[in-house]
Amino acid sequence: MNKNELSYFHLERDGITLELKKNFDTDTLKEFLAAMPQSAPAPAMYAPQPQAAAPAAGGGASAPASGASGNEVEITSPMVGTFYRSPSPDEPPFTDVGATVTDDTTVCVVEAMKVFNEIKAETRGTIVKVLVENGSPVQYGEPLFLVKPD
Amino acid sequence: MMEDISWLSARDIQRHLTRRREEIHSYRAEEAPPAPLPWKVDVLEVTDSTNDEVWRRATPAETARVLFAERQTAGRGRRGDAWHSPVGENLLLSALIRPELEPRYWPRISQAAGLAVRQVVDDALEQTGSQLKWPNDVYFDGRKIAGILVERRESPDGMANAAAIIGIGLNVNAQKESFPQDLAFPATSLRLESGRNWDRNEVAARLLFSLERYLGRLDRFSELREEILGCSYLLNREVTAETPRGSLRGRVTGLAENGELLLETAPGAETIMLYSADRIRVIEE
Repeated sequence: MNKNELSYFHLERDGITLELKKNFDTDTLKEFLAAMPQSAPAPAMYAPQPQAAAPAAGGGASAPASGASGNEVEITSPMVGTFYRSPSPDEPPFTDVGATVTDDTTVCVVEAMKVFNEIKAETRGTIVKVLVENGSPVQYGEPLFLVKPD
Repeated sequence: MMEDISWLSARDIQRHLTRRREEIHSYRAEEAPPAPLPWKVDVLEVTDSTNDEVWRRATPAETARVLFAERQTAGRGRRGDAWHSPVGENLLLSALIRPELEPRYWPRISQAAGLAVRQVVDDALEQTGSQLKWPNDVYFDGRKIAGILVERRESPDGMANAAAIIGIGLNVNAQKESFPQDLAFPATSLRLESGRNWDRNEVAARLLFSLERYLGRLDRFSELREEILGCSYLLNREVTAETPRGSLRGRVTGLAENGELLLETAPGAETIMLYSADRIRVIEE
Protein backbone atom coordinates (compact mmCIF):
# COMPACT_ATOMS: atom_id res chain seq x y z
CA MET A 1 0.00 0.00 0.00
CA ASN A 2 2.82 2.11 0.78
CA LYS A 3 5.18 4.46 -0.86
CA ASN A 4 5.10 6.83 2.06
CA GLU A 5 7.28 6.50 5.07
CA LEU A 6 5.61 5.61 8.29
CA SER A 7 5.97 8.34 10.85
CA TYR A 8 4.55 8.99 14.25
CA PHE A 9 4.48 12.07 16.39
CA HIS A 10 2.84 12.64 19.74
CA LEU A 11 2.66 15.85 21.73
CA GLU A 12 0.83 16.69 24.93
CA ARG A 13 0.90 20.19 26.27
CA ASP A 14 -1.58 22.36 28.14
CA GLY A 15 -4.25 19.76 27.82
CA ILE A 16 -3.80 19.49 24.06
CA THR A 17 -3.00 16.15 22.60
CA LEU A 18 -1.63 16.15 19.09
CA GLU A 19 -1.05 12.90 17.30
CA LEU A 20 0.19 12.63 13.78
CA LYS A 21 0.63 9.37 12.02
CA LYS A 22 2.09 8.55 8.64
CA ASN A 23 3.63 10.98 6.26
CA PHE A 24 2.78 14.15 8.08
CA ASP A 25 3.88 17.41 6.64
CA THR A 26 6.68 18.77 8.78
CA ASP A 27 6.06 22.34 7.59
CA THR A 28 2.54 22.21 8.97
CA LEU A 29 3.87 20.87 12.21
CA LYS A 30 6.45 23.61 12.48
CA GLU A 31 3.82 26.25 11.75
CA PHE A 32 1.57 24.72 14.32
CA LEU A 33 4.27 24.65 16.98
CA ALA A 34 5.38 28.18 16.17
CA ALA A 35 1.83 29.46 16.44
CA MET A 36 1.17 27.70 19.70
CA PRO A 37 1.25 29.87 22.81
CA GLN A 38 3.54 28.73 25.58
CA SER A 39 0.84 28.97 28.20
CA ALA A 40 -2.86 28.26 28.42
CA PRO A 41 -5.33 29.09 27.06
CA ALA A 42 -4.19 27.70 23.76
CA PRO A 43 -6.23 27.27 20.60
CA ALA A 44 -6.97 23.67 19.83
CA MET A 45 -6.69 22.24 16.39
CA TYR A 46 -9.27 19.58 15.87
CA ALA A 47 -9.18 16.72 13.55
CA PRO A 48 -12.64 15.22 13.85
CA GLN A 49 -11.43 12.50 16.23
CA PRO A 50 -7.69 12.97 16.69
CA GLN A 51 -7.49 10.12 19.15
CA ALA A 52 -8.85 7.57 16.70
CA ALA A 53 -6.52 4.67 16.35
CA ALA A 54 -4.99 4.14 12.95
CA PRO A 55 -5.72 0.65 11.72
CA ALA A 56 -3.13 -1.60 10.23
CA ALA A 57 -4.99 -1.77 6.94
CA GLY A 58 -5.92 1.32 4.93
CA GLY A 59 -9.51 0.39 4.21
CA GLY A 60 -11.24 -2.67 2.91
CA ALA A 61 -12.26 -5.68 4.95
CA SER A 62 -10.48 -6.64 8.14
CA ALA A 63 -11.02 -8.63 11.26
CA PRO A 64 -13.17 -6.64 13.66
CA ALA A 65 -11.63 -4.66 16.49
CA SER A 66 -14.88 -4.40 18.38
CA GLY A 67 -18.62 -4.53 18.01
CA ALA A 68 -18.65 -7.74 16.04
CA SER A 69 -19.27 -11.22 17.28
CA GLY A 70 -18.10 -14.54 15.93
CA ASN A 71 -16.29 -14.50 12.65
CA GLU A 72 -17.79 -11.31 11.19
CA VAL A 73 -15.50 -8.96 9.32
CA GLU A 74 -15.61 -5.18 8.96
CA ILE A 75 -15.44 -3.10 5.84
CA THR A 76 -13.51 0.00 6.85
CA SER A 77 -13.04 3.46 5.34
CA PRO A 78 -9.72 4.09 3.57
CA MET A 79 -10.05 7.84 4.05
CA VAL A 80 -11.61 10.60 6.12
CA GLY A 81 -14.74 12.02 4.57
CA THR A 82 -18.50 11.83 4.29
CA PHE A 83 -20.19 8.44 4.02
CA TYR A 84 -22.83 8.01 1.33
CA ARG A 85 -24.84 4.84 0.84
CA SER A 86 -26.07 5.69 -2.67
CA PRO A 87 -24.51 7.20 -5.81
CA SER A 88 -26.80 10.23 -5.55
CA PRO A 89 -29.60 11.28 -3.19
CA ASP A 90 -32.42 9.99 -5.42
CA GLU A 91 -30.90 6.57 -6.10
CA PRO A 92 -31.22 3.38 -4.04
CA PRO A 93 -28.36 2.35 -1.73
CA PHE A 94 -25.46 0.36 -3.18
CA THR A 95 -26.12 -2.41 -0.67
CA ASP A 96 -28.17 -3.18 2.43
CA VAL A 97 -28.53 -5.63 5.30
CA GLY A 98 -29.06 -9.12 3.91
CA ALA A 99 -27.36 -8.40 0.59
CA THR A 100 -24.56 -10.63 -0.63
CA VAL A 101 -21.28 -8.97 -1.50
CA THR A 102 -18.16 -10.12 -3.31
CA ASP A 103 -14.71 -8.51 -3.41
CA ASP A 104 -15.70 -6.19 -6.24
CA THR A 105 -19.08 -5.11 -4.91
CA THR A 106 -19.29 -1.36 -4.38
CA VAL A 107 -20.82 -0.86 -0.95
CA CYS A 108 -20.69 2.92 -0.50
CA VAL A 109 -18.98 6.16 -1.42
CA VAL A 110 -16.79 8.25 0.87
CA GLU A 111 -16.39 11.84 -0.26
CA ALA A 112 -13.74 14.34 0.74
CA MET A 113 -13.01 17.59 -1.06
CA LYS A 114 -15.09 16.57 -4.06
CA VAL A 115 -13.33 13.24 -4.48
CA PHE A 116 -15.96 10.52 -4.55
CA ASN A 117 -14.26 7.34 -3.50
CA GLU A 118 -15.98 4.07 -4.37
CA ILE A 119 -15.52 1.58 -1.54
CA LYS A 120 -15.40 -2.10 -2.47
CA ALA A 121 -16.35 -4.88 -0.07
CA GLU A 122 -13.00 -6.66 -0.54
CA THR A 123 -14.59 -9.70 1.06
CA ARG A 124 -17.33 -12.23 0.27
CA GLY A 125 -20.38 -12.68 2.42
CA THR A 126 -23.61 -11.15 3.64
CA ILE A 127 -24.03 -7.66 5.04
CA VAL A 128 -25.30 -8.03 8.60
CA LYS A 129 -25.07 -4.43 9.77
CA VAL A 130 -24.62 -0.92 8.38
CA LEU A 131 -22.58 0.84 11.05
CA VAL A 132 -22.72 4.43 9.85
CA GLU A 133 -25.61 6.68 8.93
CA ASN A 134 -25.89 8.11 5.44
CA GLY A 135 -24.29 11.55 5.19
CA SER A 136 -22.22 11.16 8.37
CA PRO A 137 -18.53 11.97 8.69
CA VAL A 138 -16.23 8.94 8.88
CA GLN A 139 -12.64 8.54 9.99
CA TYR A 140 -9.70 6.79 8.40
CA GLY A 141 -10.08 3.10 9.24
CA GLU A 142 -13.57 3.48 10.72
CA PRO A 143 -15.76 0.36 10.32
CA LEU A 144 -18.63 0.98 7.90
CA PHE A 145 -20.27 -2.43 7.48
CA LEU A 146 -20.26 -5.79 9.25
CA VAL A 147 -20.10 -8.76 6.92
CA LYS A 148 -20.73 -12.42 7.74
CA PRO A 149 -18.31 -14.29 5.48
CA ASP A 150 -19.52 -17.11 3.22
CA MET B 1 -27.31 31.67 -34.27
CA MET B 2 -25.05 28.66 -34.74
CA GLU B 3 -22.45 30.36 -36.92
CA ASP B 4 -20.00 31.04 -34.11
CA ILE B 5 -19.75 27.44 -32.98
CA SER B 6 -16.42 25.71 -33.47
CA TRP B 7 -17.17 22.04 -33.07
CA LEU B 8 -14.82 19.96 -31.04
CA SER B 9 -12.51 17.55 -32.82
CA ALA B 10 -10.15 15.05 -31.25
CA ARG B 11 -7.62 15.68 -34.03
CA ASP B 12 -7.64 19.43 -33.53
CA ILE B 13 -7.28 19.05 -29.78
CA GLN B 14 -4.25 16.76 -30.25
CA ARG B 15 -2.76 19.16 -32.79
CA HIS B 16 -3.13 22.14 -30.45
CA LEU B 17 -1.72 20.09 -27.57
CA THR B 18 1.40 19.15 -29.54
CA ARG B 19 1.92 22.79 -30.45
CA ARG B 20 1.36 23.89 -26.87
CA ARG B 21 3.99 21.47 -25.58
CA GLU B 22 6.48 22.84 -28.09
CA GLU B 23 5.98 26.45 -27.12
CA ILE B 24 8.69 27.52 -24.72
CA HIS B 25 6.57 30.32 -23.28
CA SER B 26 4.06 27.75 -22.05
CA TYR B 27 6.46 26.97 -19.25
CA ARG B 28 7.31 29.10 -16.30
CA ALA B 29 10.91 30.05 -15.91
CA GLU B 30 11.31 28.20 -12.62
CA GLU B 31 9.76 24.92 -13.64
CA ALA B 32 10.97 21.99 -15.69
CA PRO B 33 8.66 21.03 -18.54
CA PRO B 34 6.05 18.60 -17.20
CA ALA B 35 6.11 15.03 -18.45
CA PRO B 36 3.50 14.73 -21.21
CA LEU B 37 0.65 12.34 -20.47
CA PRO B 38 -0.25 9.93 -23.30
CA TRP B 39 -3.80 11.27 -23.70
CA LYS B 40 -6.21 9.28 -25.81
CA VAL B 41 -8.73 11.86 -26.89
CA ASP B 42 -12.36 11.16 -27.81
CA VAL B 43 -15.09 13.62 -28.71
CA LEU B 44 -18.76 12.63 -28.59
CA GLU B 45 -21.79 14.61 -29.59
CA VAL B 46 -23.82 13.17 -26.76
CA THR B 47 -23.30 10.78 -23.85
CA ASP B 48 -25.00 10.03 -20.54
CA SER B 49 -22.13 11.19 -18.35
CA THR B 50 -18.57 11.82 -19.50
CA ASN B 51 -17.30 10.31 -16.23
CA ASP B 52 -19.16 7.04 -16.89
CA GLU B 53 -18.26 6.92 -20.58
CA VAL B 54 -14.53 7.52 -20.15
CA TRP B 55 -14.51 4.76 -17.54
CA ARG B 56 -16.25 2.35 -19.91
CA ARG B 57 -13.74 3.11 -22.65
CA ALA B 58 -10.52 2.94 -20.64
CA THR B 59 -8.51 -0.27 -20.77
CA PRO B 60 -6.41 -1.21 -17.71
CA ALA B 61 -3.22 -0.46 -19.64
CA GLU B 62 -4.20 3.14 -20.35
CA THR B 63 -2.84 5.78 -18.02
CA ALA B 64 -4.38 8.88 -19.59
CA ARG B 65 -7.64 9.11 -21.47
CA VAL B 66 -9.96 12.05 -21.97
CA LEU B 67 -13.46 12.27 -23.30
CA PHE B 68 -15.22 15.46 -24.37
CA ALA B 69 -18.96 15.61 -25.02
CA GLU B 70 -21.06 18.36 -26.54
CA ARG B 71 -23.98 17.24 -24.41
CA GLN B 72 -24.60 15.05 -21.38
CA THR B 73 -27.98 13.48 -20.68
CA ALA B 74 -27.11 12.60 -17.08
CA GLY B 75 -24.31 15.01 -16.23
CA ARG B 76 -23.94 15.69 -12.58
CA GLY B 77 -22.27 17.96 -10.13
CA ARG B 78 -21.81 17.31 -6.48
CA ARG B 79 -24.29 14.72 -5.11
CA GLY B 80 -26.70 14.92 -8.03
CA ASP B 81 -26.64 18.69 -8.61
CA ALA B 82 -27.28 19.31 -12.29
CA TRP B 83 -24.59 20.91 -14.43
CA HIS B 84 -25.98 23.34 -16.99
CA SER B 85 -24.26 23.64 -20.33
CA PRO B 86 -25.79 24.57 -23.69
CA VAL B 87 -24.59 22.48 -26.65
CA GLY B 88 -21.51 23.75 -28.46
CA GLU B 89 -20.62 26.58 -26.11
CA ASN B 90 -18.50 25.16 -23.33
CA LEU B 91 -16.20 22.30 -22.45
CA LEU B 92 -17.51 19.20 -20.72
CA LEU B 93 -14.91 16.55 -20.24
CA SER B 94 -13.67 13.73 -18.10
CA ALA B 95 -9.98 12.97 -17.82
CA LEU B 96 -8.96 9.56 -16.53
CA ILE B 97 -5.54 8.99 -15.00
CA ARG B 98 -4.15 6.25 -12.74
CA PRO B 99 -2.13 7.94 -10.00
CA GLU B 100 -0.05 5.93 -7.56
CA LEU B 101 -1.45 7.43 -4.42
CA GLU B 102 -3.19 6.10 -1.32
CA PRO B 103 -6.91 6.91 -1.25
CA ARG B 104 -6.61 9.36 1.60
CA TYR B 105 -4.29 11.57 -0.41
CA TRP B 106 -6.70 11.76 -3.33
CA PRO B 107 -8.19 15.12 -2.32
CA ARG B 108 -4.89 16.47 -3.65
CA ILE B 109 -5.97 15.41 -7.13
CA SER B 110 -9.18 17.34 -6.95
CA GLN B 111 -7.38 20.50 -5.87
CA ALA B 112 -4.51 20.10 -8.35
CA ALA B 113 -7.15 19.85 -11.07
CA GLY B 114 -8.68 23.06 -9.73
CA LEU B 115 -5.32 24.82 -10.03
CA ALA B 116 -4.89 23.45 -13.56
CA VAL B 117 -8.24 24.83 -14.71
CA ARG B 118 -7.65 28.13 -12.95
CA GLN B 119 -4.35 28.52 -14.79
CA VAL B 120 -6.13 28.08 -18.12
CA VAL B 121 -8.60 30.81 -17.19
CA ASP B 122 -5.83 33.18 -16.12
CA ASP B 123 -3.77 32.52 -19.26
CA ALA B 124 -6.79 32.98 -21.50
CA LEU B 125 -7.81 36.22 -19.86
CA GLU B 126 -4.18 37.36 -19.64
CA GLN B 127 -4.38 38.17 -15.98
CA THR B 128 -4.11 36.62 -12.55
CA GLY B 129 -7.59 37.35 -11.27
CA SER B 130 -9.21 33.94 -11.13
CA GLN B 131 -9.60 32.22 -7.79
CA LEU B 132 -10.21 28.78 -6.32
CA LYS B 133 -13.22 28.40 -4.11
CA TRP B 134 -12.56 25.44 -1.86
CA PRO B 135 -12.19 22.74 -2.72
CA ASN B 136 -11.92 23.32 -6.46
CA ASP B 137 -14.52 25.59 -8.03
CA VAL B 138 -12.92 28.19 -10.27
CA TYR B 139 -14.24 31.71 -9.81
CA PHE B 140 -13.62 34.88 -11.71
CA ASP B 141 -14.66 38.19 -10.16
CA GLY B 142 -17.01 36.43 -7.76
CA ARG B 143 -18.69 34.29 -10.41
CA LYS B 144 -18.23 30.59 -11.09
CA ILE B 145 -16.52 29.75 -14.36
CA ALA B 146 -15.66 26.06 -13.84
CA GLY B 147 -16.61 23.11 -11.66
CA ILE B 148 -14.76 19.87 -11.03
CA LEU B 149 -15.73 16.52 -9.54
CA VAL B 150 -13.38 13.58 -9.10
CA GLU B 151 -14.30 9.92 -8.78
CA ARG B 152 -12.06 7.10 -7.68
CA ARG B 153 -12.91 3.76 -9.24
CA GLU B 154 -11.10 0.48 -8.96
CA SER B 155 -10.68 -1.95 -11.83
CA PRO B 156 -12.74 -5.09 -11.18
CA ASP B 157 -9.82 -7.38 -11.88
CA GLY B 158 -7.36 -5.40 -9.80
CA MET B 159 -5.11 -5.40 -12.86
CA ALA B 160 -4.58 -1.65 -12.91
CA ASN B 161 -4.17 1.16 -10.41
CA ALA B 162 -7.44 2.76 -9.39
CA ALA B 163 -8.65 5.36 -11.86
CA ALA B 164 -9.08 9.01 -10.99
CA ILE B 165 -11.85 10.30 -13.21
CA ILE B 166 -11.70 14.07 -13.24
CA GLY B 167 -14.94 15.55 -14.51
CA ILE B 168 -14.61 19.17 -15.56
CA GLY B 169 -17.10 21.72 -16.78
CA LEU B 170 -15.54 24.96 -18.04
CA ASN B 171 -17.68 27.80 -19.35
CA VAL B 172 -16.02 28.97 -22.55
CA ASN B 173 -18.36 30.70 -25.01
CA ALA B 174 -21.50 30.78 -22.88
CA GLN B 175 -23.37 34.08 -23.01
CA LYS B 176 -25.51 35.65 -20.32
CA GLU B 177 -28.73 34.12 -21.62
CA SER B 178 -27.09 30.66 -21.61
CA PHE B 179 -27.32 30.45 -17.85
CA PRO B 180 -30.54 29.61 -16.03
CA GLN B 181 -31.87 32.38 -13.82
CA ASP B 182 -32.06 30.19 -10.75
CA LEU B 183 -28.42 29.11 -10.37
CA ALA B 184 -27.36 28.79 -6.75
CA PHE B 185 -24.23 30.82 -7.49
CA PRO B 186 -23.70 33.42 -10.26
CA ALA B 187 -21.80 32.12 -13.31
CA THR B 188 -19.58 33.55 -16.01
CA SER B 189 -17.54 32.35 -19.03
CA LEU B 190 -14.29 33.16 -20.84
CA ARG B 191 -16.36 34.90 -23.49
CA LEU B 192 -18.26 37.05 -21.01
CA GLU B 193 -15.00 38.12 -19.37
CA SER B 194 -12.94 38.64 -22.53
CA GLY B 195 -15.58 39.82 -24.98
CA ARG B 196 -14.42 37.37 -27.65
CA ASN B 197 -15.32 33.95 -28.94
CA TRP B 198 -12.88 31.11 -28.21
CA ASP B 199 -11.71 28.15 -30.26
CA ARG B 200 -12.77 25.41 -27.89
CA ASN B 201 -10.27 22.95 -29.36
CA GLU B 202 -7.47 25.26 -28.38
CA VAL B 203 -8.88 25.81 -24.88
CA ALA B 204 -9.25 22.03 -24.53
CA ALA B 205 -5.59 21.54 -25.44
CA ARG B 206 -4.53 24.22 -22.96
CA LEU B 207 -6.52 22.40 -20.32
CA LEU B 208 -4.86 19.03 -21.00
CA PHE B 209 -1.47 20.70 -20.95
CA SER B 210 -2.26 22.40 -17.64
CA LEU B 211 -3.48 19.10 -16.14
CA GLU B 212 -0.16 17.50 -17.07
CA ARG B 213 1.65 20.29 -15.32
CA TYR B 214 -0.31 20.11 -12.08
CA LEU B 215 -1.00 16.38 -11.82
CA GLY B 216 2.73 15.79 -12.14
CA ARG B 217 3.21 17.58 -8.82
CA LEU B 218 0.92 15.59 -6.52
CA ASP B 219 3.93 14.36 -4.56
CA ARG B 220 4.89 17.96 -3.80
CA PHE B 221 1.53 19.03 -2.46
CA SER B 222 2.92 21.59 -0.02
CA GLU B 223 3.95 23.64 -3.09
CA LEU B 224 0.51 23.30 -4.60
CA ARG B 225 -1.07 24.25 -1.30
CA GLU B 226 0.90 27.50 -1.25
CA GLU B 227 -0.34 28.22 -4.73
CA ILE B 228 -3.92 27.46 -3.71
CA LEU B 229 -3.65 29.81 -0.73
CA GLY B 230 -2.32 32.49 -3.06
CA CYS B 231 -5.50 32.38 -5.16
CA SER B 232 -8.04 31.34 -2.53
CA TYR B 233 -11.49 32.89 -2.82
CA LEU B 234 -12.35 32.06 0.78
CA LEU B 235 -9.13 32.72 2.72
CA ASN B 236 -9.61 35.20 5.59
CA ARG B 237 -13.28 35.57 4.80
CA GLU B 238 -16.28 34.91 7.00
CA VAL B 239 -18.39 32.10 5.58
CA THR B 240 -21.35 29.87 6.26
CA ALA B 241 -21.28 26.23 5.18
CA GLU B 242 -23.50 23.18 5.29
CA THR B 243 -21.39 20.30 6.57
CA PRO B 244 -22.00 16.70 7.66
CA ARG B 245 -21.83 18.13 11.19
CA GLY B 246 -24.50 20.71 10.50
CA SER B 247 -24.42 24.39 9.55
CA LEU B 248 -21.25 26.19 10.52
CA ARG B 249 -20.17 29.78 10.46
CA GLY B 250 -16.62 31.00 10.79
CA ARG B 251 -13.56 32.58 9.27
CA VAL B 252 -11.40 30.59 6.86
CA THR B 253 -7.85 30.60 8.22
CA GLY B 254 -5.99 28.22 5.90
CA LEU B 255 -5.60 24.71 4.60
CA ALA B 256 -4.34 21.57 6.34
CA GLU B 257 -2.04 18.86 4.99
CA ASN B 258 -4.21 17.54 2.18
CA GLY B 259 -6.04 20.78 1.59
CA GLU B 260 -8.70 20.41 4.28
CA LEU B 261 -10.35 23.75 5.00
CA LEU B 262 -9.52 25.32 8.37
CA LEU B 263 -12.40 27.26 9.85
CA GLU B 264 -12.20 29.38 13.00
CA THR B 265 -15.70 29.46 14.43
CA ALA B 266 -15.07 32.45 16.71
CA PRO B 267 -12.00 34.61 17.40
CA GLY B 268 -9.59 32.54 19.45
CA ALA B 269 -11.98 29.58 19.48
CA GLU B 270 -11.42 26.13 18.12
CA THR B 271 -10.33 25.65 14.53
CA ILE B 272 -12.39 23.07 12.70
CA MET B 273 -10.95 21.02 9.87
CA LEU B 274 -13.49 20.51 7.09
CA TYR B 275 -13.39 17.61 4.64
CA SER B 276 -16.57 18.34 2.81
CA ALA B 277 -19.16 21.05 2.74
CA ASP B 278 -22.02 22.29 0.59
CA ARG B 279 -23.18 25.77 -0.23
CA ILE B 280 -20.25 27.68 1.17
CA ARG B 281 -21.26 31.31 1.13
CA VAL B 282 -19.16 34.34 1.86
CA ILE B 283 -20.72 36.77 4.31
CA GLU B 284 -20.19 40.21 2.88
CA GLU B 285 -18.67 42.51 5.43
